[in-house]
Amino acid sequence: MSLPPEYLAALGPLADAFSAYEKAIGREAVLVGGAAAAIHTDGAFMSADFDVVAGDDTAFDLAMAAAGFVDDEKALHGQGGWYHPAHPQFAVEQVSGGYFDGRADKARCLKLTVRDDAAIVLPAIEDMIADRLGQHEVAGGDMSMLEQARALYALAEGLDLAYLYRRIVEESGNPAHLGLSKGHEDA
Amino acid sequence: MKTLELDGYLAGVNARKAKLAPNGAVPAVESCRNGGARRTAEKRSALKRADARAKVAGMQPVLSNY
Repeated sequence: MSLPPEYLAALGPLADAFSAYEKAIGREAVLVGGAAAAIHTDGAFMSADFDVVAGDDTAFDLAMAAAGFVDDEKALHGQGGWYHPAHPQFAVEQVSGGYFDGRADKARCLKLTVRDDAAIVLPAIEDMIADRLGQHEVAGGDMSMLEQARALYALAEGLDLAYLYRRIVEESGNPAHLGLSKGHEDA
Repeated sequence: MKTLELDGYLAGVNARKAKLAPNGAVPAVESCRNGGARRTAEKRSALKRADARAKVAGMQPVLSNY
């Protein structure tokens, strides 16, 4: 299964907003969470929400408006929330906190050009794997985060195993779920 | 920061997926879907509104657990 056309179409205006935001303040917004995992796996699963880390609330709100997004009852939850009228089945939310609380190397992010000069930015796949494994540890019986981590790990190319191991530990995940051991720390 | 074309990136992922699929190395779609139990009330509301908007617009809602 690959990402469906309507999902890819929704990435167009999101990329417009990301690029407008970067032009305005000189820093990138980053698409995180399940949407980033869905893109990194080309649709091994997908959900209706796009979570974004952007440090400047006002600039991101302006960039979203310029790209045609409208407010989605943001007053109810404090952080920004939007949807695009042409793609109403998706919700965009600005998540609180910094990019992986400052622990991840933002230079490792992947910028994906969607159209013209418009691009989205995703975390490095190592950071996504670590995030999913960390969430798995507090997920109770829900195995979806572990399965996402396994899908990301299986489909990744050219992983930096030392960085991956460090990031899994930082996110309180268990590297053994992927067959990684302490030896990978210095790989 | 590395920059790639989205289409090219997805094509590469898809090719690896096709190669790994016969070995069952890529988990099934449903097993990867967020079960929703740990979602915040705000996230549940946002997903519910997205679902409702899709239905009003006559579009297929995206399957999400909320």
